[in-house]
Amino acid sequence: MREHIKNNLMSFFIIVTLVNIAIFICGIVLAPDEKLGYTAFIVPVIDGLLGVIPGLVMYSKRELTVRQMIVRDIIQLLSIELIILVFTFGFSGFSNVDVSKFLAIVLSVAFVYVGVVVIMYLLDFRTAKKMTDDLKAFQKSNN
Amino acid sequence: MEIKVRKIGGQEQEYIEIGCHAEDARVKSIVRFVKGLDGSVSGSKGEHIYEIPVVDIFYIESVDDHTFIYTYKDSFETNLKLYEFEEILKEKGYLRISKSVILNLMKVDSIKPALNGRFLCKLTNGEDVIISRKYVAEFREFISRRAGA
Repeated sequence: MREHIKNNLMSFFIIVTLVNIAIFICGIVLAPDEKLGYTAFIVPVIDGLLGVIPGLVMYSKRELTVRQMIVRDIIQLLSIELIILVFTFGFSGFSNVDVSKFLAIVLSVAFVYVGVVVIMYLLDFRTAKKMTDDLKAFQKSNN
Repeated sequence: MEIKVRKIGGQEQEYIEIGCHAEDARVKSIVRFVKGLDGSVSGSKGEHIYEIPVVDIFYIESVDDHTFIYTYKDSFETNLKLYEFEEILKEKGYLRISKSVILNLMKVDSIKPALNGRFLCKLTNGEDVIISRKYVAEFREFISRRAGA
């Protein structure tokens, strides 16, 4: 459970960083002249919190098979898409939804999700390399 | 059962003798346990029983209440439970890596990340075994401590 919370905390900070990048890219492309207020700074943090909720809710103590994990990841991505879209357009009742903005958000969420998976994998890869090095040292000392 | 421990001289060979009315399951279990401490374990394959040196074991797996010992290319069934192996082999470079597997660390070639916070151990015989999430922290702590020792 402790590992799970640690992983989600790490995911949160990665999401916040990637959302900042996504806002920057979408802003440059879709609304380069728009000026943002101070509230814009809190959006990545809120998105980060919303983004980790499905992961926290869908935590399973069971060891999942690869297929189960892929299915869970797809459900998780769809849940995050839904949560972020409701958060963005839900307050206005989904009226006057700008299609380009809608698509930009859908793609950004997917980009952030894939980014988090890739970064977490790279961190695990570094951990695995350290474990292999420690293991070789252990084997050498026991030979 | 009364237990007697008697010190003997350095030139005599150490031994264990069990006085029993019948060589029942309890006695056999004690014998297997002691053999394990001494560097080998008994495993059966078909109708034959083999003594398997602890250093030749790659991993031990529990499947549906049965325990199997895996060597380079063979597998044997054993009557010992996984927790008993854990007790016997903990000082011999073996470590629990999931609910059902105890791994001989000397037989691991490399470690790679698997999905969902798990890690995959590639063994020197080409087989793969998974370190489950629950055991990753303990595994890391154990090898980093022993690597520095």
